[in-house]
Amino acid sequence: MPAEGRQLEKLRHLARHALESGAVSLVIGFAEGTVPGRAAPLFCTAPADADRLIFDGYCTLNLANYLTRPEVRAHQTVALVARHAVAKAVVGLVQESQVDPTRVRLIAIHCPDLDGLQQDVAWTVADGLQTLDEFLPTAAHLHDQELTPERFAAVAQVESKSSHDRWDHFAREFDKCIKCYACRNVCPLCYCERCIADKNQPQWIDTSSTQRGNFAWNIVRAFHLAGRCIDCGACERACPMDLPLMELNRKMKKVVAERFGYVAGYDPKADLPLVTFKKDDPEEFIK
Amino acid sequence: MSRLLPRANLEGVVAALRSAGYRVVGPVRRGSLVTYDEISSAADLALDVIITRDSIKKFVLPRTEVVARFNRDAAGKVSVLDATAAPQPTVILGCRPCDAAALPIDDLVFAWDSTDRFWFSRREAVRLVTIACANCDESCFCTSVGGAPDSPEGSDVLLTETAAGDYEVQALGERGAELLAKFPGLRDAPAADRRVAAVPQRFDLSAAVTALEKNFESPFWRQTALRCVGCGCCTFVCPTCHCFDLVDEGPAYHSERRRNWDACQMKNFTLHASGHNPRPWQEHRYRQRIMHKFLYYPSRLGRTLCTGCGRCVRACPVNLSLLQVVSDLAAGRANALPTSAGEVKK
Ligand code: SF4
Ligand code: SF4
Ligand code: SF4
Ligand code: SF4
Repeated sequence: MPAEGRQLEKLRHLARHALESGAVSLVIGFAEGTVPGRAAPLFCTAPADADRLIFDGYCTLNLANYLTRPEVRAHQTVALVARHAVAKAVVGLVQESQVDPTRVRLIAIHCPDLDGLQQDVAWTVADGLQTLDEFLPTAAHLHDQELTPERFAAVAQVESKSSHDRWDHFAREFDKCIKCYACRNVCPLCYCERCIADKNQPQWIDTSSTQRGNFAWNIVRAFHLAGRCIDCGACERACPMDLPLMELNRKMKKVVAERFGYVAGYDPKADLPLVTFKKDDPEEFIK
Repeated sequence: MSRLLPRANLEGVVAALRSAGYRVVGPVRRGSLVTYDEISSAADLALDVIITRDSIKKFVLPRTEVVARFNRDAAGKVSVLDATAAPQPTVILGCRPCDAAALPIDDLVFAWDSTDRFWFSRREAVRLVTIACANCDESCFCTSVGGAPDSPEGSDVLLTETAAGDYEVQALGERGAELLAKFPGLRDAPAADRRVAAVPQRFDLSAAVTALEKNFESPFWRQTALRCVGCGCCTFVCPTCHCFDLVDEGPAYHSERRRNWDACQMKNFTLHASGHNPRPWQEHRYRQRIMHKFLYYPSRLGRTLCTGCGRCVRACPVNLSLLQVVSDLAAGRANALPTSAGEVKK
């Protein structure tokens, strides 16, 4: 059996065993999609469901997004088929007290690079079902890849423009936005029960898809995820209008790394840079 | 004999329509994205794509539209100003049959109990020059919902590509004849081979409808919609989805009432002011979309609210394919499920 087939067998075995043994009552992974190049989230509750699990570089959705769904919360313990970005999102959710780490298990998928999104990615699956604490040391080395210049190539390009050209660039891009909120709804860290974009008493931002409304929406979203976004790219891939959302998210990531020395997704016990008050904060306005 | 538009004359058509005062729009490529946008030359047209990402809906039902303006003067007197703008005469060149067919279907609801003057004034201003599809992909299913890749329905002019790459031309109705009279360089030619996609029939529509009648309460919906994230992708790219919200926005003393696209998949869609939501779970919202398109709309207004364009199938971020779901229903997969699956309590 080729190596990849063996890994798939192992993945299915882990999922099947997790359900059979009662360690979890739900495994969320991926099944074959309806068209080539797409994978579909799969919710396994019976051991036999595990036979439909697959994994490849098209499994790009961030499955941690489902952990905050009420239908999923109703399960005592849930396992996720988790490439690194999924695990990072679980870290964020635990850190923000949205998910109880004792109720989550990972079937960790290791890829040679941070994203594991190439079509023919070589992947291996961890030896057993893991808790977040068991998983974390096995991925700590990927932290080094988070801030490589290649990751910020698109950001650098935007930064190199004059402010006038930058405005034009974003005006053109935001104009495409149809306010479908797919970016928000696939984002594991966009879990607010009532998003600020949906509030109308009082209304904070225009709901209309006008230039003003679109700027407000896309900027508010990027700001609210600053220091929290784990750089999975799910939002940008979900966007039906191909907005370059990662330009904004990565810019925020870069600023947070420079100013606070912080990269999200590695330490569930870390203080979140933008919501933590420190008495010795050097900024005057905060006191 | 048939009327032929040599491909090289497409440029002349664009120029003639523009000088006749029309805004000409068609499929335009911007990076990875192809959408309907204004063109100034036939060279701007991306005619090789199977289908644009967005539909022609935006030309009759814009994603945001001002329907009234309010003014409050210094004395506190409030006046309501009419906001109807004269819509710009527009020709959609390179429209797809599944887009064109959507407009007459939606006319029915916009004329149902009252006549929606915003919809119909834009509708009056738009002319559709459709190009029959020479290619299709695995998400196209027009032939399963009564359409065809060369259907003239809803179009004013239908162009069908010939083997030589020219277009056979067909004018539909008076509006079509009037528009075609503006096309330069048409000639008569013997009927040639036409390039029309073979779109397989993918499900039996009447079997799907019967399954829907029987399966309002079925665990099928939970199983199907558990992965649905409740976004507006599928409805906003859809040429037939037409739901909107009305909001008052802008400065307090000079505000606007706007009509914005809304989506039945979003959880706020049916949220009452009391906090009660009659469609509390995503499965209810997903079921609504399918039921509305394939059961409620046809039973009230006589037409299926789907033209099989496949846009929602392609756009869904979680690969929840409407085509697959309706095929499953037609194949009886919902009927087979036990109805006793436990409710999940929040
Ligand atoms: S997914 Fe894209 S089009 Fe939809 S709201 Fe987000 S940025 Fe706008
Ligand atoms: S904002 Fe985008 S990249 Fe960041 S966590 Fe959310 S989905 Fe992932
Ligand atoms: S429901 Fe889907 S396939 Fe049908 S018309 Fe709408 S977008 Fe096209
Ligand atoms: S079916 Fe897909 S596109 Fe439609 S609301 Fe659900 S997740 Fe969004």
